[in-house]
Amino acid sequence: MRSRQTALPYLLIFAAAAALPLAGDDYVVLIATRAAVYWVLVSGLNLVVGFAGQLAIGWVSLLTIGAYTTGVVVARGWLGPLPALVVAGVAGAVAGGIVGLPALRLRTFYFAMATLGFATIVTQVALAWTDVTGGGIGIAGPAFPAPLDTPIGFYLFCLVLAAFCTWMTLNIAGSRFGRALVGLRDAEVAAEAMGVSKSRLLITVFLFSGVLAAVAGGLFATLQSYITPDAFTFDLSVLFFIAILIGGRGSVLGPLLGVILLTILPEAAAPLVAWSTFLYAALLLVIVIGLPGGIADLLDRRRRRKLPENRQIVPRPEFVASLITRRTDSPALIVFGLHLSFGGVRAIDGLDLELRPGEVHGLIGPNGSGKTTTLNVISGFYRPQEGGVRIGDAPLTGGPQTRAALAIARTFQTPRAIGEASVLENVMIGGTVEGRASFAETALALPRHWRDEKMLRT
Amino acid sequence: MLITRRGAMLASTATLLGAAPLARPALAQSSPILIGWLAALTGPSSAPAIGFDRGVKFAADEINTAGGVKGRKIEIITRDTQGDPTKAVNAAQDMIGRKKVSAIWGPTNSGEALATNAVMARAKMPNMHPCVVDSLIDPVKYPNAFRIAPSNGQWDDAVRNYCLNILKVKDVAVVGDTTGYGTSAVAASVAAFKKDGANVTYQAQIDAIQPDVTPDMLRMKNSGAKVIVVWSVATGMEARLMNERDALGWDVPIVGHPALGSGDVRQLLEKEANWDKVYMVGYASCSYDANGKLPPQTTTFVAKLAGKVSLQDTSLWWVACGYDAIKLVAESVNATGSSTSDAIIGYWNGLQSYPGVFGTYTWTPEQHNGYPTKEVVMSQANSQKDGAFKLAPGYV
Amino acid sequence: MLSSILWTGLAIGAIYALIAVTYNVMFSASRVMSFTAGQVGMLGGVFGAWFILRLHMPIVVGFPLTLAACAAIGVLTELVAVRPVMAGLEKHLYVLSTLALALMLQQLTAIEWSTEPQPFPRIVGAGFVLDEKFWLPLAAGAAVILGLELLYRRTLVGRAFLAIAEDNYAARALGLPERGLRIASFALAGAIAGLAGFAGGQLLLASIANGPMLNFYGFVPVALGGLGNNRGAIVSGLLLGVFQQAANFLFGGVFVSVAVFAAFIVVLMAAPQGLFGAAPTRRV
Repeated sequence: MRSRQTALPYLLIFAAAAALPLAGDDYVVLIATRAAVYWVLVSGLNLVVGFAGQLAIGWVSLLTIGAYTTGVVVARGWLGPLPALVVAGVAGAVAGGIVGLPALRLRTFYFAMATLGFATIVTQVALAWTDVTGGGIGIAGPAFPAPLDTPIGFYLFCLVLAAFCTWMTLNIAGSRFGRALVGLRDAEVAAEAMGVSKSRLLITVFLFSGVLAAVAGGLFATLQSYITPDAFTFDLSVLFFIAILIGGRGSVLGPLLGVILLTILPEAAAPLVAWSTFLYAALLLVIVIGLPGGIADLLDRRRRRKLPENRQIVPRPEFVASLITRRTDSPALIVFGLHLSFGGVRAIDGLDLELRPGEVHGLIGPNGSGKTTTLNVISGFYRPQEGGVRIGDAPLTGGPQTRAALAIARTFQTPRAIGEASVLENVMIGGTVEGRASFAETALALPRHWRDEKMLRT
Repeated sequence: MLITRRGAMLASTATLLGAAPLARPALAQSSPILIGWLAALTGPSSAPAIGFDRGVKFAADEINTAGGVKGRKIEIITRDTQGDPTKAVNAAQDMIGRKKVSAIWGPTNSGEALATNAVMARAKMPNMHPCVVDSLIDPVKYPNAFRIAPSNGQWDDAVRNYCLNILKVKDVAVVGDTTGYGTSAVAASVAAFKKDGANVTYQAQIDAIQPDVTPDMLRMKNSGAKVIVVWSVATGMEARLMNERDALGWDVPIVGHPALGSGDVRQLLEKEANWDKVYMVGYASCSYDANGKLPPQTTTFVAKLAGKVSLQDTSLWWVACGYDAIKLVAESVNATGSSTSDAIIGYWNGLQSYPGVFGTYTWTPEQHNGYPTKEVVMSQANSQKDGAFKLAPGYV
Repeated sequence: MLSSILWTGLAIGAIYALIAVTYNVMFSASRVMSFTAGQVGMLGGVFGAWFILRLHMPIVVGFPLTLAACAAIGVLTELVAVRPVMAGLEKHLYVLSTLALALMLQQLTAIEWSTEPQPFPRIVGAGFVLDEKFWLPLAAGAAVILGLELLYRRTLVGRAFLAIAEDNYAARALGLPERGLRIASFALAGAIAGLAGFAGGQLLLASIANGPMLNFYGFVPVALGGLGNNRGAIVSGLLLGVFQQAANFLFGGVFVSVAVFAAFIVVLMAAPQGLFGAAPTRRV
């Protein structure tokens, strides 16, 4: 995660983009429109890949679904092109959810393979379902009414959408959701201990991403004026994915620059088009090995200041009191009759413990006596064979995410910090459960989101 | 120096890297005539474009050596689209807006052409292309687009005619690959067969990389098919079908797409004899008659190519077609004295029986499919020599 | 009909199984799953065709040379895509580096070799009972299984491989040359993939399309059989091959891949560790 971004780079980029039609060249406008459409998709995918760390390589499948949905809806005369985009968005959400579900259970490589498989399936279905998709012949892309039917008009429309998506994803990135996503990516267990619900958050992000990708698909269909299954190549999937990696994970500006670069590059190097995929792959390899932080890292280095010499970390004891005395009225935390074994090893053999509010308890014992195990039971990572934990009379069930809401959490023997986030941002993850704004409210920067941010930062 | 496949690719890359293709405004009368060439030179389905490319280069060289057209040289601006509709649209717009070409030859794949139609129509760019999908040509929607090769419908007519009237079989199995072309071609073919009263006993798409076609062949055999019609450019799959036909000991003719006769297929056959009784779409202009001779115009053309263009690993009709396309642009400038879009389109619209090497073309404002159906013939696959074929047996 | 499905299914299944073993061997050595496994399999076929048909080498020279070339690419994977990533902080980036390398291999082959499938030479020249394109992959599979069993159980080197896979730190503490062993493991994996491609050359033809296909279908047995579990991989691979052929016979065409993929996802969602694997533990 980068330190707080200013709006300046984005304003510069979009202002330059808006001024592009003045150059008067249809070709330049076409390429720029393409970059804008790709960015609509990549801005969403960025949250999945760059922030949540889910390697969704086969994302072109959602572009395909969006393109065909808008094409079919308009061709059959059911709706106009703009409502068709909305319908495509819904289809994209559903598909995004389907693709995202395996992410909850599968490890990285497996998930990557699964997305690749999904992309192949979507193409096969598009080919085989001739009645709907036109099979190999394909269908016409939706035509927009004036003034969006001119190259410049359509370009400005796509540009506005791209800017809107940038704004939304920036809002998410800088919110507790963005921090939680990065937390899941880099320190999953710690994030869950802080109350981040992996399944809810991931599914939300996949749904959001799916919507953006499908809308991009609809725009793509109009741009191409005609879609056939062979337009949705594996190369495109690779392009989207590499743009994010080149741009830098955890950044929005980086992938934006990445998309612009990768859209322009094959045009600038047209004679080398046969080598284009090879060069993309080589670029990816170089980035992964040499510059894992991508372009964003390059940009950030210039702004990173050295820490001042001889700085001191000064504790402020006056705050401790306010942190601890908050819940004097709640009932005690009681551990009763705890028995926990791992196979034949008896880790905890009958433990009773009462933690009263406002107290600090120390659990002391030799190595292997079960201290960490007890902590894990209280935090919800382990379920005991006998006994349990309760607050007052209410027994605690469920995983670590639910405990955080009750203000129960743990820290770890080996620090589980999120490497690239600032110290403040790391701490703010702790407050994730306190946030009240929903994902959508955050995306649209509605007032509740700003209240959350203010609360978490102070 | 023989232009071979690999050499051509490297040479074209070098040329494009070396030359600085900046658009020069066509003001002076001696300014070159720029012709855009959208070629799927690499990537899947690149064999036709490589063939066309040889004809294109040869035509440009020939015209320029003779002094050009009214003093103006022909300059070909090539962009490799890799068969990708996205790249094709980008390249087309580049040629229209930046390079300001007078006409565009290509693209070579139907999927690309479906996407570039709109871009070219908006710019009224004279466009000649060899793509087969029927819906590509529409003189009302795309008054600027002309087809120089037969449409898929014409191919289908030739194949159907051969099966029903010459081989005289009524029970057919129709298969294609799983690409866009394969699925649509099979659907159209089956519909047309049924309309003509044939009995389609089996129809299916076969994945081109499927290693074993035994299940499909067995199903076809069990369905009682007396001929197998194949619509695909996938040479690997076609070779497998032929090999399996031999393994099953099933004596049945295989009829269909021109790719059935390509050198790629022959390489993959387990026995030379597996290429027997394979008849594919061919062209009268590129067929040997009973005396083993090509038609006079083609013979002259082949003689010109000797030593300069290799025909061993390609098809003659591709080279001839590419050659004709460039000549058609040059001719229009020669006849009208102008290289504007209206001049070229107007000239093409008025051509009656224009004697090209590949075919005798006729275009009118209402009919933009220029290849005469009677010149579409069936050829015998195993008679390949110098890129041309013998007429299939029973053919007049 | 049934025998055709069975033999083709088993032959192709054997190829998938061998690629799965390649994934497993690479994983055992480094805890990394590499996208290059399927591509090296493809190269086994391409190199075989290149050396024997284009360069006219005799088979006794061409075959070992193919294996050596594929082993070299295995080592290249380790040097270029695995080691630099493992040395860094973000270990899971290996997915990207191996993907990048796999793509580069595929594109380079497409440009230098051909995009169309090319013929593959006949090896033995005679089929008995079955054509050689069916029993060659099965024979190769059996040879590899036997070879690996011998290696892991009877030889010191094999046991050293197992040691660095089980517990890297302890193995190094005992003085095992971890780096050398890892490179040797990748070379072995490359050779196995090359053998798979070579033995399957007549069935699959020498085509670059085999790369991504083997990547996916070679991975499914790994997922089903449990990561690192070679026996599970072999069984799952054979089953997959037969299932695929049966599906092809029943519905054919496009729906085979849908069927395989659907089965893959369903099994994995129900049992992420595979049908034969052990449940993964999480360090808390």
